[in-house]
Amino acid sequence: MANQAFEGVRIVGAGQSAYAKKSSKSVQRLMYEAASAALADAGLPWRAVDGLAVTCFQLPPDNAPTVAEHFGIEARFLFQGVYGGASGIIGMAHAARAIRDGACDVAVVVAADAFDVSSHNETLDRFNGSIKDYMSPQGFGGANGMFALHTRLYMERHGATCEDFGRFCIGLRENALRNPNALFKEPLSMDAYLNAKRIADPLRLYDCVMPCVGGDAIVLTSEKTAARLGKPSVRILASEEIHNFPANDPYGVPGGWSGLCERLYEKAGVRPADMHFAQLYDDYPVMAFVQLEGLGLCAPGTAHAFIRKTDITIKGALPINTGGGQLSAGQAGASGGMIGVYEAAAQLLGTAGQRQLDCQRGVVSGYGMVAYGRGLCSSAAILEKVN
Amino acid sequence: MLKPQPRVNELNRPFWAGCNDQRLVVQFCAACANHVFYPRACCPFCQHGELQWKEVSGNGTVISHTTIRRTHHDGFNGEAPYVFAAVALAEGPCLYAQLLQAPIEGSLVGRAVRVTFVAHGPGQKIAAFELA
Repeated sequence: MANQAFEGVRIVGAGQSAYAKKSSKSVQRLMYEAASAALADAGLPWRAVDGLAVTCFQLPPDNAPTVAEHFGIEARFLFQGVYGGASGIIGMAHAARAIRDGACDVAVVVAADAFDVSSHNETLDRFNGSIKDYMSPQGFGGANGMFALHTRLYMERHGATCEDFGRFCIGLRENALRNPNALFKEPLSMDAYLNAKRIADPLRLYDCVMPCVGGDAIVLTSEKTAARLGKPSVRILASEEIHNFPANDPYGVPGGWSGLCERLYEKAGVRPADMHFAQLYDDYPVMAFVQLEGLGLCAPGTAHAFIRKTDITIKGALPINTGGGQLSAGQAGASGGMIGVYEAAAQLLGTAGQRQLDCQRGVVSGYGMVAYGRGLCSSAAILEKVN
Repeated sequence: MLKPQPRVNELNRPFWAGCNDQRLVVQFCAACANHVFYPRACCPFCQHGELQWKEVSGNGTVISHTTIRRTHHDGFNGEAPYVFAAVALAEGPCLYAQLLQAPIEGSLVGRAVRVTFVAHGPGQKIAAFELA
């Protein structure tokens, strides 16, 4: 019997700003553009908004209350994500519970940032105490160095090759070519992938997300308000999070999805084989591999073999990151935790344009707050089209 | 250019002072007999509130490693490419540090390493490792 945690709540709109390498826009403006696009998609005016969930690394000293002030919203529900790239899903779940409980009726869940390589490195360098004192002085090489360690370990443990990660990146790039907002506009060949500049062995340039400028948003509301809109809507079958899992073991399982997977599908009342797409947190290909395994989409230790035989483009058996993901659309800071939520909602609302799938439901996952050698926060949700 | 410097405070002073004395000193929980790194306010295994400081052997094995070619901070540019590793100390905890004089190509996973201490900034040495 499926869990009813999000009964009576609907996702009714999804919006994404164009991703750019550079921009003089403020993060408030980026959030405004993504949220406006999502509200327009929903057919709801800004004045209907009474709840707001925001995630933005560059927001401090501002915060969720000052964003409400900035936009002129009288908010009855506010959330600010401190879970990095896991925050988009967690913010969505909090907003859905607030709507279910009658705390608010229309909530915008939005993330945005305006990063380049150097501001990204500066932010990560002071991300938390353990990085600042026990990784950065030691010369960890930023997120690239940290995930190079995980990539090498995955290759040694499971026999994955650089070409396996390359296949994944190439598939995502093909998807990105159908997303007009994506940063990368040219196909990626295996030669170009393998001959790209080495960054932190075994990682090469196209294994590393491009820090950029952008924002993503969705709109949630009550079933009652959604019915008045007379448009397609999406429901949350389940949403789970887990932090610091497994405790005290940075290299046992690099990510917590295996600790939430069973609960997720049990509450949703569906199985991994029922997923029509997966929108994974792809800061590095190895983390997407770990999510494929942790979310039960393939057996543990076999994601590389799965990628060899599975077409992950929108034409394939399991489309992954159908808008190009962070690796090919770009990583706009905290929006990296929202791009998958946006993409899942857009696919199920039927507004994904040239990359539209024929789909009923799919899984989206998030990952964030890298600390002492790994990201501490893992989240995942299963969303379904309401027929 | 100066490399990023650690914040030395009440919680972690024995560790950083140990580096300056060329001794690797980490926390130890007498209640559950686990060694703890990085320095904590309580034991992350059993939540016991009284952690001791203990000098450890300085021996460890490479969990994983990378060759950093693009640095995260200009202070490291003069050293790149260099090997950076996750090291499992013989006593248990994981330390991140540079692996000095190690080959920048090929796998070093599982190799035995031994701690050494190198100049890092004004008045501060830092732990690094060498292949044993």
